[in-house]
Amino acid sequence: MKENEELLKDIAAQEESKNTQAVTEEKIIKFLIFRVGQRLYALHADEVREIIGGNAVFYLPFAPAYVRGLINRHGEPHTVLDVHALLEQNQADADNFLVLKIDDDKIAFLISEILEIIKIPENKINTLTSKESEMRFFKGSISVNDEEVFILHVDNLLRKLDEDLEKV
Amino acid sequence: MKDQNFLSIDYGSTGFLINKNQFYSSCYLDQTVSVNSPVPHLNNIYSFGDEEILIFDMHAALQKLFNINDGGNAELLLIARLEKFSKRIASFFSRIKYKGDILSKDLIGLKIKSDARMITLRIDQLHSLPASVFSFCKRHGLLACSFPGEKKINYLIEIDCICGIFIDSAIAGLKGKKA
Repeated sequence: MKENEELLKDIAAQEESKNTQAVTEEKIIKFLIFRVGQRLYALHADEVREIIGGNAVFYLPFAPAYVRGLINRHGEPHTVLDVHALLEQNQADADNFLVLKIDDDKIAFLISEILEIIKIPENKINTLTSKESEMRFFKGSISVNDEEVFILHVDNLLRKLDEDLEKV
Repeated sequence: MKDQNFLSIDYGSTGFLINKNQFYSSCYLDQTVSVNSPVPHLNNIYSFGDEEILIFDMHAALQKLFNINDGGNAELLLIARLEKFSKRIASFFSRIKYKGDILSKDLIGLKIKSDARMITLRIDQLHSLPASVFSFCKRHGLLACSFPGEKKINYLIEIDCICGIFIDSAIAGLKGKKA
């Protein structure tokens, strides 16, 4: 019947409109903003399992300076990486740790402090165009309180660790 | 759960475990004789029964590797059979000479801290090192760890690797001099 055909058209139009809306809806990403030494960094919040502090760091001989050692997290050893030592060439004086959410490894980043957790639309993430080799350690950057904060690229940092430990 | 006996050597916040199966006897060290050796920490011999055995100073080696300042007296000697070592390391030890050919071809002594003690651990009290550093640590003689307290770690060490680190470094040094 004519009325129902019109009704079906209306329903279809409404659904199409919903789909279009879903496509154009911006994806929001949650970041943890933290400080290591004087520098700010960001990490996708879903890459972080836990934030802990005050743990003793146990020295690992022969490792590069940015591998600060091991910590005891709930009875399990975790490798502590100091991104400040890797990127700024001097070790951070800090005692807080971001425990990463990685299935087959136990890694924590040494950090000075967590500053905030922010939500950013995906299209506000800046792509890095620099070809400098150190830029591979960043996924991009975001603007936080008018300051450019680099987002750490965990996979590439771990690849670097792997390469460096192979050489020793 | 399986139990295993270990020798535990304590240096404050860092300690070391050596599998009991890696050595077969121990004794207190008294008089040792110095020998010339190109390898650091491998420059004493000791009369053990009827044999003269070469001594590797594990105490000094661990202190150097782990930046440990806690001295303690190294007056205990672990006696290990060379057959427990890799062929490369055993062969190196057995080629060191003192007054002809009197050094034992079967035994080596490992000098350690006098307050070392035997402990028994369940295997589940030992933890694998994180995957990111596992192979690296194994190559350098660190096999696993345990946490007897919040502020303390015990590394399970492979004595063959620890000795090898100093031997390799000495060999590299000698090759450098020749070149």
